[in-house]
Amino acid sequence: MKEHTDKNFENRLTAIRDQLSEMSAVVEKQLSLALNCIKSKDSDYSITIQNLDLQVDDFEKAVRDECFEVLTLHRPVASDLRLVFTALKVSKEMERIGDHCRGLSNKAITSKSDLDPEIIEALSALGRSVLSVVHEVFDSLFTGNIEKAKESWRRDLEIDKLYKSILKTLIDKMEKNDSIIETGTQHILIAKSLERIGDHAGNIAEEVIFNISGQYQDIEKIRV
Amino acid sequence: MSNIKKRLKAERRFKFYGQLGVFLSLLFVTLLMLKIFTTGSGAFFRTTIEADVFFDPKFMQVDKNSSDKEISRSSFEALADSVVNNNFKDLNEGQFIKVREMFTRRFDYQLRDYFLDNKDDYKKTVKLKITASSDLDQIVKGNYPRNVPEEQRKINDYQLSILDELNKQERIGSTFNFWFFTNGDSRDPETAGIWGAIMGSFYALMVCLAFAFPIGLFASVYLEEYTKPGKITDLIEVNINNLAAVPSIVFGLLGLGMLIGVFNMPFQVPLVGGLTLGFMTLPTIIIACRSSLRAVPPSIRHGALALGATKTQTTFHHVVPLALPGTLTGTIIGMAQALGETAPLLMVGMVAFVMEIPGGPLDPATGLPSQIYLWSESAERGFIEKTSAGIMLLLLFLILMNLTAVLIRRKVEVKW
Amino acid sequence: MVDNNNFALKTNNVYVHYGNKMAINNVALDFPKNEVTSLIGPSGCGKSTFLRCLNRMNDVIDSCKVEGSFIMNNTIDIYRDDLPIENLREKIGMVFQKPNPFPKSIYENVAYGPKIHGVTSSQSELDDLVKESLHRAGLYDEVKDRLTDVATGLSGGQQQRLCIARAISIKPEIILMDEPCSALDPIATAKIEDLINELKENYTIIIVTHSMSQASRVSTKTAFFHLGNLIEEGDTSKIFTKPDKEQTNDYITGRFG
Repeated sequence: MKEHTDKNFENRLTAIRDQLSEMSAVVEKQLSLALNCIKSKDSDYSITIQNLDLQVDDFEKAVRDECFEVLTLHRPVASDLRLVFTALKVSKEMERIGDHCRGLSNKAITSKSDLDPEIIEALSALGRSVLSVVHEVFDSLFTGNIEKAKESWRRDLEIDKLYKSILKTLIDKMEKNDSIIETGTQHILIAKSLERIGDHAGNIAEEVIFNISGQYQDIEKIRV
Repeated sequence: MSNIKKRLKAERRFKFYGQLGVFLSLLFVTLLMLKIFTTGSGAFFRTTIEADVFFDPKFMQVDKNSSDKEISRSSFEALADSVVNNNFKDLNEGQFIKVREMFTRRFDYQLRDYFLDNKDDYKKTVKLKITASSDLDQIVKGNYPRNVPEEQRKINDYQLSILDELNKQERIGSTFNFWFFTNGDSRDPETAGIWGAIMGSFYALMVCLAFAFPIGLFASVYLEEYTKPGKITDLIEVNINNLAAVPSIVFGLLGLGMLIGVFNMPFQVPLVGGLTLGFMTLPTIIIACRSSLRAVPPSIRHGALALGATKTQTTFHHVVPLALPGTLTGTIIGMAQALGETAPLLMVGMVAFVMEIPGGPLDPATGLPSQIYLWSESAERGFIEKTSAGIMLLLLFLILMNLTAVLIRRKVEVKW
Repeated sequence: MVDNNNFALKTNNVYVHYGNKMAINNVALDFPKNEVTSLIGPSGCGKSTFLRCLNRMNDVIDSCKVEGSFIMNNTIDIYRDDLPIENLREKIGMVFQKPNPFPKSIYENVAYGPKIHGVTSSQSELDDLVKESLHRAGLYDEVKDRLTDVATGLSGGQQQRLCIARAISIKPEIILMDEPCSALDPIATAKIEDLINELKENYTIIIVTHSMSQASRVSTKTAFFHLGNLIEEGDTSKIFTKPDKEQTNDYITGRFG
């Protein structure tokens, strides 16, 4: 795309894009650290995640303010308007992902380790899958690749499937063994958080598709 | 730094040259005016000699019951002679002629005019201020030197002695010379007036206006609004500009050759003079009209056209009325130019001795500038001041016309 | 969706040349009835030229050659030889960039059109028409006490509304506006835009504008011209959120040149 005749406007839009990109890197890091927590239950990770979350919150505020100024001062239209609109919503989704990472890492390090390794492994698999969807969706955001965004949106189904199977396994186990109910519930919540992160990734994908195509698309149509 | 000093110096120098130029031109104008005013002002006054007039029935063919018509037709020559004899006793024939010469030749007319207004003075004696002859007038005004040998003077020693006598008796007076404004031309400077020339110029200008303004206006409307730019339009444009620069004598020749030669129009009449002046003014009017038509913004035309007005409606409802002030200004300036023009009148014979005031454009007449020319050529000393006075009047008319043009332009200037 | 009766004017295969220079290159554009269509594009893109084709104002320019079909109300070819240009302009009015009231009274400005077309049969009818036109142009209340005053004494915005009143006085079907607000301040502009929104109830309006935000505010349809070509046309909301062509996007976001 050509540069703006108005350099100030161009710089502001670039700043929004840059901040979003930095923010996405931090969020991805948070997520991968959170996945580590599930396995290792290392409280150091949790502390790092919490510090990163403060950064993410700052990023969200910065993007919000920048977008607000661009809207008031430059009245963007067409692709610029869509970018600002997308940045606002995506930053919100990213911030939510950060929150989930913080929550699930807390739960992971405080839970007892009396679960089958296979459950942990299944959770990790879910986590990996979520991470890859998140990575893919961020990638599609910055490369403007609509097919990639659609693809990651479709993969949300896969995450849902994994989540449901983990849920089923855990409930089965808890029915058989009362003693693990507490840990089991904790891990159900962890799985739920991961699934929610997947949903947020899906929302981001929806925004990416809007940013590129100019319209919100029906998720059912994409999934088919 | 040194540069700026040089530049400022050049600036001051240039300003000085400009001021000098303005000063010099003002000086020349002032000198010219001064000369004209000092020589011309005398023409507005005439010297009079007070005399007792007895309306003696012996010398009159009419009495107080006569009609105006009869009085106008009758001669007062004998009465005039009697007045001279009564006022200057015991004149021999030679002396009588000399004394009679001191009065205007139109003495009798003055008596008749007085009697027309005052029939009750029949058989009575009244004191009247009789106009002196121009030669005497010039002596009294000091325009003729007295201290030259007698044979070089128009007034001889005898007449001078009479004049001195009259002066002593305080019978020499001066009165406002309204004849100058009401009379036609005359052989005698004291009775010569400019009214005939003014009327001649007036009729000529009216004819010129009636001829040149409509033609000029329509030609320029057509050229400006209807023709498409092209070779022919350019050619016409160049020719019009050329015509505006053609010497006026050429237009005079055109008038002579075409109007008088081909169309057998009468010589010496304002109709022909006016048409000739019209030929001359036409390019000026066309140029002025076109530039004022061009000054009407196209947005006005577009506004009218977009409402569905035809081209002619647009032109005559909007463009021409808006251009009219400029058009009139140009026309008046053209008229002023025509008023001051002598050469064309010269060629069509409007430079002749005409005593009668012209009553219409078909009466023989002369124009203001040609009258001035005629007077300046005259031998009589009395015409010198008439010439200057004529110039003053001409200048007055020119100033009035140009002032009107300026006022119209100021007053009706349209703001967009 | 495509109902032919809903178009006030349909154009097709429009080419305009100034001498050897092509000003409009194969444009086809339809104007829906009672809607506002805006023509946008950089200077010299041909949008004004195109607009002036629609009431044949280009006929004034000798070097200008117009080709193509211009069909009004599905029946009338506006370039037909036997259609007097004056009748056409009675149906398609125009408002210009610079307010151009006649330097006559306010009343005469509005009454001029009806007078030359003989729209009214009596003086009182003419008075009513003038009043109504001024009313519709939202000017009546401001000038009702000084109808005999010279129109050039009005403010720029009032002059432009007077020009609109003048245009609607002959009850056209279509009103063309050539950058009607470019010489006006924001308040006057807002008034004109408001007026345009009201007028579209009764008239089809085609407006050329340099102001993108004006196009987005007043029009329901937008057409983007560039170098004599019609690059894109469509619903205004679509053009201003997601234009199909990158050129359009570049222009409206300010990336041109």
